Amino acid sequence: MLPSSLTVTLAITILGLLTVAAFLWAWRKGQFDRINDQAMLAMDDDDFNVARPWETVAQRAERVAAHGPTQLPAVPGIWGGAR
Amino acid sequence: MTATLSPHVVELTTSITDLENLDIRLRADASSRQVALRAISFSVIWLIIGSAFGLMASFKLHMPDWLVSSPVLTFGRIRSAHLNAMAYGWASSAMLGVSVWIIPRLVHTELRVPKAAEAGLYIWNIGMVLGIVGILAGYSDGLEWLEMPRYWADPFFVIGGGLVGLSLLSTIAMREVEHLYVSVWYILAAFIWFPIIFVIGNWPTFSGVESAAVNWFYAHNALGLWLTPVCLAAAYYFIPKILGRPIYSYQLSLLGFWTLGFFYSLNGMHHLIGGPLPTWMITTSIVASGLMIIPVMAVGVNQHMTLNKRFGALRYSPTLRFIVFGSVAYTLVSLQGVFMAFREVNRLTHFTHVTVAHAHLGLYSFVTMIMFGSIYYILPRLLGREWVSEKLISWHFWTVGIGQIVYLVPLTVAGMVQGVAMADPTSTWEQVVKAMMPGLIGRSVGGTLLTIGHCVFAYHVWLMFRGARSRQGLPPFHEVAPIITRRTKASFVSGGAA
Repeated sequence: MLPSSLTVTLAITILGLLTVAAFLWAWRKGQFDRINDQAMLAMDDDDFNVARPWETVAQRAERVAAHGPTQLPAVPGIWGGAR
Repeated sequence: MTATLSPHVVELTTSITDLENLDIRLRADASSRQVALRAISFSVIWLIIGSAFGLMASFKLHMPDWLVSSPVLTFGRIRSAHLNAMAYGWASSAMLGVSVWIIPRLVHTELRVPKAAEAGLYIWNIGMVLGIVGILAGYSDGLEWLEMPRYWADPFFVIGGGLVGLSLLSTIAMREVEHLYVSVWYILAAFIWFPIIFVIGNWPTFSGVESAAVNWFYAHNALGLWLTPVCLAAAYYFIPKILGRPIYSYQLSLLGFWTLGFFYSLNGMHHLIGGPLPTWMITTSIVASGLMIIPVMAVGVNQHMTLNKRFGALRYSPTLRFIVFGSVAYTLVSLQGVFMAFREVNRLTHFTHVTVAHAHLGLYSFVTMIMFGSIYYILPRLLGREWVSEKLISWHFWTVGIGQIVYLVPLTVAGMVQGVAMADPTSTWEQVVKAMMPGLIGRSVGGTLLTIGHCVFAYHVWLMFRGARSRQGLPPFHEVAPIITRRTKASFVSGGAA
């Protein structure tokens, strides 16, 4: 039975050890520090102050209170700046 | 600063920070533009080729005498060509494009060694051409998910994927942010995992039972450690961007990533339940499959809660609609996979069309839908113009959405009927085949709808590349809220909530 399971066992062990090594590296490098702030890494400031048509009045007011005045959507011809 | 832009927009207030962010994004997008555009082009070509093969294979299951005059068109070759064209041609090429576009944005720097990434993309696609030609010519390796010829085609994937990975790793190494966002973790891991599993899976020395074990180690991990991470990375990037709110729980997202890394590679052996392998090996795999509930629920709960109370957004943003569809499918296919790993269930579903439906729920409903959504977001930003037609997007979504239901439901039912019939010693094989027939025909109808949807999408992409302009009075796609319909636009501009 050993020959049939040896390769897969080794392969899984390699992947598992790599994951452990990556986890320890992340831990040592402080990748788990200030964890709540990290959710903001995907966001840009202008993601928050562009109005969304699906928002309720309360949701829009909450966003404006937190992130400032609302911008309206882009219009034709200013695509380059709307990115 | 304040600027008057047009009668439609009264004032646009932009802070200095906004401009800095914009500059970072513009530089990031410019650096990855060429590679991402090429990758999207290649992926759409493979989507159409793979769909044609898939449809032919599906029809052959209930019309076995159709297109049998040439060996090239026989089921064994066409079906393998379909799987490889979709998994490595369409999905993987699209993923390469999405990865090189997302990473520079998330690490706030330009794509490093873009020439290597571009060369890698071309090499990958040369491997695809050689692989598909090899399969059609009858030179299949005969291993599930690894049919492309080992010596002609496979080295191209290792070198091509490696070059794209090198570019991404260099970009991450030169990052201008300290922390790695969860999407970066997923993409980084996928580009490290893939070459390892691919080389092991293709190693030429295995035979017999060992070959089967290594094959399923690879085939299962190809979905879980290659396709899944990049698609989850895309979902974790696009959903917050479109909704304008960060993900519900960042801790949960990291829990999902690390538990995927720790548990997934143990899963593959549940495909060999009943096979001549040590029981401990199979049982370990079943237990690990059960543990997959942790990362799956972490992703599912997180994405649901991020979208919570914003479901109206699905009416506006095609990106969001496709990606949320894909995310829900991820939860469903993963939970289905957990149950199918149990011996009692596997006894019924193994060697039946339930497995085929399960694979399509994963590779299509999850992976493909997320890639569609990603391309809907990325392409306008790379080309600097809006999608041409809302109607084409709508046609695309509804044909593939309905097509999946018509495909998956009858096939799953047919597979269960098949499993029950095969377990009955009094049933003849002819009776089993006749019992499956409605499901197989339903599958072809669903496949036809999917292919129509793909043609609509490919035509729309072609219009975009050709330079066609949007027919809308105002752009149907906006930076964050891509589709704004005429009716809601009026209420929106006047300040009313839709």
